[in-house]
Amino acid sequence: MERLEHKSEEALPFRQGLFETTPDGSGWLTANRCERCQITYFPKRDFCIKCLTGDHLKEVKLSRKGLLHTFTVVHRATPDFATPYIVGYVDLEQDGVRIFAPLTDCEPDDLKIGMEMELVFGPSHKKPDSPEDKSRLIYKFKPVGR
Amino acid sequence: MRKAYVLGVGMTRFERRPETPMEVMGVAALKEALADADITVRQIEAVYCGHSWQGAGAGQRIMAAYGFSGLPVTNIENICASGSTAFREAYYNVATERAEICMAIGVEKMSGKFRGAIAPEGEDLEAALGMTFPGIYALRARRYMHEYGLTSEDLAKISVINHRNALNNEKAMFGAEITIQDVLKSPTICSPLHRYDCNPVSDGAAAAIVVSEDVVKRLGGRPVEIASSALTSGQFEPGFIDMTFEDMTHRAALTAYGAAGCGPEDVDFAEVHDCFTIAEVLRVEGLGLVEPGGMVRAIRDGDIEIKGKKPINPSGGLLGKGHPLGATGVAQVYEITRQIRGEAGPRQISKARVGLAHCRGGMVTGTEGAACVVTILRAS
Repeated sequence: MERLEHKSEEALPFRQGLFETTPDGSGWLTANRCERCQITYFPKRDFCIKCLTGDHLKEVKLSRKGLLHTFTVVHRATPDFATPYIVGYVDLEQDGVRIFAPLTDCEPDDLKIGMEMELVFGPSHKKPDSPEDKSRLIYKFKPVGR
Repeated sequence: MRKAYVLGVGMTRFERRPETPMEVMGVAALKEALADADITVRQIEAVYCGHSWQGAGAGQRIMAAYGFSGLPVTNIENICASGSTAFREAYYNVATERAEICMAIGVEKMSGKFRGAIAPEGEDLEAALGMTFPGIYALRARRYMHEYGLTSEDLAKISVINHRNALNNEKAMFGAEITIQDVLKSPTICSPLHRYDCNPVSDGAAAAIVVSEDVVKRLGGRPVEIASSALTSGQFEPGFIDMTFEDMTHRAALTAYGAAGCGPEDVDFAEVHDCFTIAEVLRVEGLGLVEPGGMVRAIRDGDIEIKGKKPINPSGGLLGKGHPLGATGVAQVYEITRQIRGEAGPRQISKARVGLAHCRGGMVTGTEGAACVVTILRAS
């Protein structure tokens, strides 16, 4: 698995509006929360699915740590991805949000359901759409303590 | 709503046919269904064609290849449930008195269309981060194993059973006597799923003729009653949903049981969407045929085998036949119809009065999935 890199100045986020990074390589996922219904959405939504209005939505930063809910090592993917890679779902308990993301800085045998994971940013393992494509920065999770 | 019946069914053998146009497959299936119903194409009032990737006007192209044109034809795309949805449309048209005789065709030519795994369309966020169809099932498999103690050997046994069932199905290409070790030694696709845990690529078509009770009274034949057919799509579920329980399948099943006036205990056998071995586990439980976590026991005790208490996928399922997307749902109706009529030969289930067909598929980030259809057929 690739080593953790914080070269965020070299890569643009693969999508807008999902996260912010800082020059030191840290950052956060941006979500929004309906204050009335107490539901947090990632990615952000225009309106709450329960009260069907956007009037009570406030942008929030998601917590950086969560528990590993499940994971898989992908050996066969669509042709634009380099395999193998690991992906999983991490539950951000404080926010009530489950995030799908690649998992990094670990071998498959290191991973256990329920272990604590933390947010990092790094390059996508999807091959660039073009040689000039710099939109490579994605979010990932790594085991806490790596 | 009035009663409606399946009067005839037909299907091609599901196999890899990269050189065969999909129209040829569609025509073969519809000819067999018309012959089985002992009617002519002139008696058909409307056609519903389910497929995902056959291009614009697929139903019309099939009818033109057959040589009959001018009918109202509707093309239906609902990913894995395309064929089931087409069948449901045919059923509702007859049941709501819009027609007396309708035809549902399901068709899909997969060969040569995909390289590598299949992932959700276009802009899907999770796909952009590396999600694929085998991937989401692998994630759910690992979670189910964690919660209920299911093992890789248990999953492999489903593949063994369905491949064995397919040996007795002349319409299936992948019938084989394989062992649990064969499954576990096949290449890992997404851990813990191996190649034999995953349905293979194949091509095919299936057709069903749906008629009213008046037509049955006039023509006779070997009709099978359509008790109900329910369709759901995935719901937005923020927060921590249970990845081991299929909400879409459950909701569609509740609607289908309610409309049919029966419960899971009345279902003798089922054709369930086993795109992956773990999918059969999740769906048999989602349908209420076995309690949550109970599939561990049902697999080990042989309940799901043809001679067991709750036979699942006597046709061989998607694992044994492959999964030409649009065709699968109508092929399930084919199998259930033949079982209820007592025409299933070496794979005949001894008590086959009420059969359930389940198709479910697609992925939409934020929801559990795209579409699910549950149809219940019973002896008339």
